[in-house]
Amino acid sequence: MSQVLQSQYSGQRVDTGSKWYTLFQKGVELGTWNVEKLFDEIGFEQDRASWEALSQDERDQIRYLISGFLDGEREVAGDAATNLQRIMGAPCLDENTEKEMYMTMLTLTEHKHTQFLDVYMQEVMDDQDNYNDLDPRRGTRIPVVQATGLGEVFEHQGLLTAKAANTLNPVDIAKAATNYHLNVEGILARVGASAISRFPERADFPLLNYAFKFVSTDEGRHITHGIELLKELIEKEEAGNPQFQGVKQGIVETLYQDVPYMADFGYMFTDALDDPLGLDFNEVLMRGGNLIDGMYNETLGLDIDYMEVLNVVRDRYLEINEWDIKQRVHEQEQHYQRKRGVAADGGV
Amino acid sequence: MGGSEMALDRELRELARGAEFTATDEEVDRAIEEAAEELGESPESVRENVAYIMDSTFEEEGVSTSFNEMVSGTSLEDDVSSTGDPRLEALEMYKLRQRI
Repeated sequence: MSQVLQSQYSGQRVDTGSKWYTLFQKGVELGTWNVEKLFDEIGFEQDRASWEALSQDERDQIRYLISGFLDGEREVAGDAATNLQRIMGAPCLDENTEKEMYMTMLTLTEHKHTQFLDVYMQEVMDDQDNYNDLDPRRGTRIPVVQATGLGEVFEHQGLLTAKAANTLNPVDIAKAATNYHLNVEGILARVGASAISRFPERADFPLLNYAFKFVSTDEGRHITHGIELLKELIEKEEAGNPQFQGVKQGIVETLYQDVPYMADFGYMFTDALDDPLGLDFNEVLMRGGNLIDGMYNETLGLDIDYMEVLNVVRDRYLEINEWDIKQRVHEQEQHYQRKRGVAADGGV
Repeated sequence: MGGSEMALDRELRELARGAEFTATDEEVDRAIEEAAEELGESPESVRENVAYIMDSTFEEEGVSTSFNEMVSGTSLEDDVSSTGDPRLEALEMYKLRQRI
């Protein structure tokens, strides 16, 4: 929206005119929806009935899609609470106090998304093993996430955010924010959400649908934060500040590094299972390309080379299309079972 | 709660790369009035939050990408369980949010 957002109050330590104050305040107002009250308000009944009525192949398709979100939400929540919170205090950034305030709200909402997904899978999708008991932050992702390239994006997220939190260098911060806010939240989460919107009528999941609309509203503020953060870094680079040189190049490079594995997420819940719900891998890729164009080119004013994006995605697709994906998932399931045994013995 | 702390732009615009408006302005105005009465809030406050739920960006001139994929993004056009209009969908979400 074209906003004239202005608090009626002023403080001394907190700048109530800051964009990040506005994001924080709107997060307090709109982002504190109560997951347990949503369960009570909508109920699980229709979702369970729809789940029971689907074929096993259709259930697996939804299970794969939701599994990507479950591991993803847990990993973004963890990195926000640790690395991003520290980055918001970086000396190279302005408005540190308000950014730090906002990051607490971002972290809270990511944990709520994890809370929703974990309980939902347990309550609605527990007719077979969901592999959702071990913590990806301790090295064990859900088998299909690890078997495809989606896990690589989260691995990259952990590495980039940890590095930026350690160096507090503007180029490192730009790379971390690109991976986290643009690639994971702005593209992966939104193409996944768009797939839920395309569920056919026989896959009527009102609780899942409402919850993801709340998630989508929260992610909107998160993406706005990422865009504004990157704009600040780009402006400082373009102003000639030596410390900021390389910001734009870092943003573009991070997209090229992540994009083939981001496409794997679409493959994971469509062509990897012969797409019984008709969610359409090409539609997923087209939506992702549209979001890349909007955020990177139009909003940030960068010059993303379409051909390079298409080439790396095509090369990756040709590679994974040769895989025996069922065998790879099976191997990861065996790995998961071994890790369960270690966890049961008191290890990690 | 209800956005009383902030002065927001209340104009509801169709978003670039977003879902098309399918309801009339009059239908939306009437739905906002009814929701305000139901919630015990001012219509202005409800309208402000509908606008914010549709799009939280700080862009001054329109937006280059829709920031709320399932409510105001093009995904809404595929959602058979939705109201079909991004303004009415955002209003439904605001009413539900106020209940929970």
